[in-house]
Amino acid sequence: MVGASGILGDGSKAVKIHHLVKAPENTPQSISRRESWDATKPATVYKTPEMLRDGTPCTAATVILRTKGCVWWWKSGCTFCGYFNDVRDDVSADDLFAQWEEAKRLTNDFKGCKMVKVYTSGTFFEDRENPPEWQEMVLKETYEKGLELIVEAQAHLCNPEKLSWVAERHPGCTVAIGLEAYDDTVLRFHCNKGFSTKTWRKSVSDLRDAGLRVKTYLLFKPPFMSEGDALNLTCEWLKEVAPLSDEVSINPMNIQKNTVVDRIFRNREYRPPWLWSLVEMIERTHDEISNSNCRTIVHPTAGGRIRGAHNCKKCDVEVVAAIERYSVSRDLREFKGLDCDCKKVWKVEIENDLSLPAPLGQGRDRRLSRVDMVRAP
Amino acid sequence: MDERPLARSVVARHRFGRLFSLGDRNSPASWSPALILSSDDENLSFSLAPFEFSRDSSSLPAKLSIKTRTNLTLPFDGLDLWEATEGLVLPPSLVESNSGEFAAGGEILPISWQSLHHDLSLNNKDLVPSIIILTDAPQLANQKGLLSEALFILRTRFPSSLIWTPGIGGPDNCAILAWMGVDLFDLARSRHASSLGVILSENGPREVEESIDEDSSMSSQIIAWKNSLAATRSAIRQGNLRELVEKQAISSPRSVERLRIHDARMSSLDGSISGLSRVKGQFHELRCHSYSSRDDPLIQDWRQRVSLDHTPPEHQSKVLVLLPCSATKPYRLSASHKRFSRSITSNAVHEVIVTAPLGLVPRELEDIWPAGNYDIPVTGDWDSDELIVIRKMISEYTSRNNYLRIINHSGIEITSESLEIIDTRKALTAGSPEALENLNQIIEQSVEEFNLINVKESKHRLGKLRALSRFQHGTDKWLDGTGIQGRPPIFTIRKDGTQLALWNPRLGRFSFTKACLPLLEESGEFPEAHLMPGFDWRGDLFSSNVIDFKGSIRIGDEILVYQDNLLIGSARAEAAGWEWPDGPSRLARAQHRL
Repeated sequence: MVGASGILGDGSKAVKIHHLVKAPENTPQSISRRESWDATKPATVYKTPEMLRDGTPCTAATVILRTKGCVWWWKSGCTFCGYFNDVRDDVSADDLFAQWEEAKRLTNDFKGCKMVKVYTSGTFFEDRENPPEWQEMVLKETYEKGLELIVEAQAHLCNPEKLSWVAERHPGCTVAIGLEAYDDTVLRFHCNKGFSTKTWRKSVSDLRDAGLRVKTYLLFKPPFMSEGDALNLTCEWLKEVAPLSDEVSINPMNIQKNTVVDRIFRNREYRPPWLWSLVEMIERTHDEISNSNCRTIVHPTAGGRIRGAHNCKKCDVEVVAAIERYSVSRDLREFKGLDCDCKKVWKVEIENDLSLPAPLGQGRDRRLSRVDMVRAP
Repeated sequence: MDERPLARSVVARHRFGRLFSLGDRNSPASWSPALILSSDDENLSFSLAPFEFSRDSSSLPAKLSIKTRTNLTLPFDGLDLWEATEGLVLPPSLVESNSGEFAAGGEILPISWQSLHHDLSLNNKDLVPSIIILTDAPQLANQKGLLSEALFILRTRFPSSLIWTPGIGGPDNCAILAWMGVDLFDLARSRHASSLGVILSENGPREVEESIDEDSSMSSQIIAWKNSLAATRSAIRQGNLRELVEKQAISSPRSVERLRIHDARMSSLDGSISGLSRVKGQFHELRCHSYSSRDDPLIQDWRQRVSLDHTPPEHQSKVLVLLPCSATKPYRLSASHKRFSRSITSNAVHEVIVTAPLGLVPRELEDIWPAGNYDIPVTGDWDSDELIVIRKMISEYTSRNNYLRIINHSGIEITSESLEIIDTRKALTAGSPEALENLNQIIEQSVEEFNLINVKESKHRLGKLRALSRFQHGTDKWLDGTGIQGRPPIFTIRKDGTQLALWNPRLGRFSFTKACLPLLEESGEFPEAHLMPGFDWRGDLFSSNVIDFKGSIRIGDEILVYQDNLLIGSARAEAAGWEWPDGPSRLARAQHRL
């Protein structure tokens, strides 16, 4: 098809990004690697300190189950989500029941826990992903044990009938929706999220109507975005979604295997955010958010590591700790006196990103000698 | 969008590096290569920084604008604001995909690796933006060869636009980027250096030297920029940008890689696309002082054309004499070559000079660019790379040209399975009486053995000029039936009493007369420029009057000028083929009108 491409094109038709990245993941080798997991064992079970909805500190159990995965990934998939690495196509209802039993065994029947987060690498109450009888069992059992329950869902799968069904079995449980960005362009292009902000607003309204709690995830620094744009835009999104949510968790990007983000990270076209950006975001939005009833949480997964939010290495531990403390205390004094030489470098990167037409950012490696960091690219 | 284009003229050029005057060309307000500022930057002079940039990313895709800081568009009555949208940009590694929303603009046009592959609107020939912004330059710079490829495509597709590669330029690589066709730079890397307490100097980043009153403030960084831009502009003007590029590249492995990749790409292309000159005159020096000079496409082009194309004068086709080079150019003016010429008593042997980095220089080509102009450091020893090149060239050159014997006075050991080689040096110095005696004896012996006939001096000269014309113009047909007159080294070429051309070695070219143009046309080897029908041709050749061109055009080439397919005159190329026919300034200077 001569003439049907740009100056450098070879005439071949453009393909969708998820085909580029997902197709290699569906090779027989890749599937067989995924299917080497034991389907009767959950992917991960661990306990962490948490806060109950009334602000009381508690211990929470997190159970990540090995499921059939997310219907959106079957069709397309988010650019950053690597949960599909933990799924297998042939998980049966029996397997899920067995996984739940195993989770209980590992946590001694959730002993000492007042909260449980049940993550299914998709939408907990989507029947194509998880059998309804299993959903029902988890909802009821956690309710009967008096555990606060958090499950996850895609916004467009929150239909009112199903939400009432959930609310009947576990009244007042929390449904966490990965909104990622409160911007339709970013949802579509940067995240490939599969729903719009309008759909999210509708799902929030339906959750409220069903008496369920709303937790919103925002993604700090989606792919194809510079650090500067991520900082400015996420601050705005946070201020807009906080009044509509009971909790907002801002998740700084961490590089999950075999995702679009992983591919561009390996090609040095993307760097996870600076920890300083997270501090800046908290400081910029604190006053406005603290007036609302919404709780904000920033938990830098893989914080301080190259594949997670990181600084220059010297200050990472200290800054991650301050961010984690803030999520509990909501006190800006956690950041008082926090400084490092790399903060100036971060600040210039933000200024450069915002002032130059380089939408993918100009960030350089943060952990070289300072002379090498500046060497001509 | 009703935007006014940037007024720009090329003042000087060296390959893809061009010095533009911006604004009124009678009194330019600024120049490029130049800086483009953002609103927070120090207020620099217009001559250094003609533009200011801003980006609004409050919603994506971002809106971009560039403001002229002084009057740069006709009729020079005010400032201009050019706007564009950034589009949604996918990184280069996802090039098979398409964001679905490309950048859009008028006088400023953002382009990415992805849009180069998928945006059909870039194929529109009427698209002539004043400034092109390569928005994913930082990412392209990270992938081997991609920046080089993107710049080559942009430079040749949009010969009249200024190119900006945001975020990657610095005082330490602006000459290299200019060499590859970039015109505009920003202070992003200098701000980064300043934040790290490092000086980004013309020689690369370095720590501040405390024993001298130095700091890493932006004022210090800008001094480095001024020095580097001044050096780059001056080098383009003087035609020695390559030297600066070679010096600058070694400050960063990425710059070295990029230069090598660019050199390889340019060397694989015709000289009209890589921007080579045909003619430079005797007074321009080509300093090949570093190892990387050998990769210069100009050097590669010479080696290739001598090895694969050149044929000796007809009367010198049997015996080849290899001679060592001399520091003096042309060689014949050196003391050593004067001695050789006393020993070479026949004009029926072909003298070829062995040298680096050009490899071989046949005697009849010693006056032309770059053989008459190069200078190299001489240690007295050849290195292995030089020896490989020379031996390969001798092998390729002799296997085409059917010599019967090689008289080797070069001092380099050479072998051949098919050809007799006689070493006249025998480990002696080239100018020693014994070696010269050997040379003379073997010449005399060869004359006898091969029945070499000394031709008349006029025939000898014509034979050399024919070989020269074949090398420079691909034909010697126009010399059929001509006679040579004049006092060496300047010769007049006449036919039937009419002067056709003058050969002046100081200019390194044939100066053709009006009478010669029909003969040049007949040869079918000279490049052609076709003017707009009905246009009354008075001045020079510009994109405004040239509608088409044919052939390979190097700077200095004689171009035949046509209108309605009729030969109407000639012109001398000031721009190489890559700038034709849409280049921003004079393409060729009128020479003759018939």
